[in-house]
Amino acid sequence: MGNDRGYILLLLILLLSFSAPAQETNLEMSMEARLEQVLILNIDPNTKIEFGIKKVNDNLYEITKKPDDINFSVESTGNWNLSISSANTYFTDVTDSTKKIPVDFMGYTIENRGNNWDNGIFSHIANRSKDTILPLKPEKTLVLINGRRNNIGGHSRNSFVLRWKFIFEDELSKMVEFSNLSIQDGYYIDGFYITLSESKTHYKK
Amino acid sequence: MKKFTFFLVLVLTGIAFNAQSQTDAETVNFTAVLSSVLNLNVTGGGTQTATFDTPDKYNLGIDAVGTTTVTMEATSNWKLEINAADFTDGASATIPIDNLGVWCEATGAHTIGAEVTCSNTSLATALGLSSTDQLLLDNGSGNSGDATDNAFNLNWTMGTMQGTMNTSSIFQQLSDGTIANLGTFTTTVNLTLTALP
Repeated sequence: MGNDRGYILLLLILLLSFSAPAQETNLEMSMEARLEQVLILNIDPNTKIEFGIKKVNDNLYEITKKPDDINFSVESTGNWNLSISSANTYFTDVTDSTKKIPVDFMGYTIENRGNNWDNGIFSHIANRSKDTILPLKPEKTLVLINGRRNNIGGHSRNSFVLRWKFIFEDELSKMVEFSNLSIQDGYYIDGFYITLSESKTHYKK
Repeated sequence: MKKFTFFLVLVLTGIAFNAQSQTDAETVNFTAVLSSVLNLNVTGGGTQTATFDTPDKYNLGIDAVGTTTVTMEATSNWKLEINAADFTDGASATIPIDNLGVWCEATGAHTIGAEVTCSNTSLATALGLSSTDQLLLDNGSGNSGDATDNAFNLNWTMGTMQGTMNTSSIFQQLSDGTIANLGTFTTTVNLTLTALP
């Protein structure tokens, strides 16, 4: 009987030693991630709208210098909106400041080159210049706004080309207004503003 | 008188004889107890901060957030496992924990590929953390030893989309709503050192 108890005790010790958890030690570390706000417009700051024009006859003008297209990109941790406006009310000839042309003689479109789609309010970006030429104005014109899919992202997602277009290129009816301007030969210039602002709307998963 | 002298000689001889043959023996029992030792020490970089404040960091991540130095003292072979919960801003927004990556360097006598094994030895092979334990360092040819043997750098990276880390940039995760907002997010990384049988 005494031997039996001894064997049982030994067996219990063996079982306990096999089922006991492995010896281990734990240590904790603190990790912190700070996501700070970024809102950046990447563009050549010296860019202006410049064009040359020459009258051939009463009904015909020759564009001697087309305004350059402008590449820009947006990098933002929040949704954003983008507006365009002219610096002045008129384009002014570089050699004769009395020669002026109203800025709405020029229009523009913005072409999307990034991975954020600009297919309307249900995509990443609603692009109001996608299917039409918007006239340049001294007042801010809201052109790009975030859609339901958010337009947050870096330059690979938010890359654009701003293309200047003479307003009559889009609509022949504007030719009449254009002919009334009595445009003189010259090389005209004006500045413009691109205003980037953070949008308040953020769509979550 | 002769009798007395004879008796005295006998007594003295007996005392002398008795003094020569008396001995005493004691036993000293000496026990050496070799208890198992298993220590994990963070010797530097116990708190890390990753700050995203430029487009490049949001696009490409932060290669080198910082380094945590650890040592192990173990009388047996061992393995080191790691886990952490998602980052949280204390409200409802979270950052998936696999945006945080780690890779190892051995700085002690034990080297990776010999006494110790590790699958994550460069930025390109960084281990994306998860909420369950993942093996970071394991026994190779025998990794028991002291702190001079078992010294390692744990190099942290975040948002870099390397190795087994999250494959989307932080920008992308902000855009698709996975990360709901900006702010300060925290988590606790757990390191578990286990003695191997």
